[in-house]
Amino acid sequence: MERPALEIDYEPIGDLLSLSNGGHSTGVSTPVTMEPDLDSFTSKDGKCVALYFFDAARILLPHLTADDSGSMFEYQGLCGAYSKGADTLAIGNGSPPASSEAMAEGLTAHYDKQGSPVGFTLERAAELLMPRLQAWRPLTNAETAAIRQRMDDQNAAMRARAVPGP
Amino acid sequence: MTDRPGLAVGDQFYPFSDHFRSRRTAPQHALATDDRIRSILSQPDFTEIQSGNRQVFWRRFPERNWWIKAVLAYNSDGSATILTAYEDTTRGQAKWNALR
Repeated sequence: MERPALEIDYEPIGDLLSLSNGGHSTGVSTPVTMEPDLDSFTSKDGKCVALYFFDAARILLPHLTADDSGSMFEYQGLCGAYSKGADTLAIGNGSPPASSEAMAEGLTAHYDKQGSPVGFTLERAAELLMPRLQAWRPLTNAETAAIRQRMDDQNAAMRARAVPGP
Repeated sequence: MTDRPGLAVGDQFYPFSDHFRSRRTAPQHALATDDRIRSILSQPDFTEIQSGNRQVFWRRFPERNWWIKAVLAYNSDGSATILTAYEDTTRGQAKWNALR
């Protein structure tokens, strides 16, 4: 049976990686890990059609670019493993999968006994992801300070709008 | 690429301005109802800052018991991009409970 093509989208501004098989979802996300934000989207029949991975480059780049043969890593609630020889990446919440199913070409979704997604395995991981993730760069201190100021200004304006004037 | 009056996923968002520009079409799995995103951004129940330049706006829609988030990423030029917006009730409710 032919697997759907894997659709990869990466937004370096927010370090958001999206992997999808192009299928329609219910629009409701199911967190795979709460922190960092790794969200799955399922179709009406409960099968994974997409995942969103925030902070993808910040978390994955050190492992995809390491000189060693691969590594296992944990980042808050996220567990991961990367094999350089097989160029295969696994990410998830560490729960043992009860079943697995091909989601797209080279991408497998893993589910627990209740059918909730617990992780994903991506083949050709560095080959597919590195050209995209390398577009990300950490913010400089000056950029961070300027952005925080804009966020504070925006929050202050929101509060001002929310509170009736005298 | 067409200009349009509402907000949608991928739009450039200039805080407190009515100038919005469509940047890309919404992915199928994202919730991209313009009015809903506008209401989240203008009247969030709470917001949070993530990883320096992301701001998540959370709003509860009690009629459906939904928490919907809109995720903005700020650009170095002062604008912000709406990365995505979708229902995330499990996470939203947990964060709201932790705040109270």
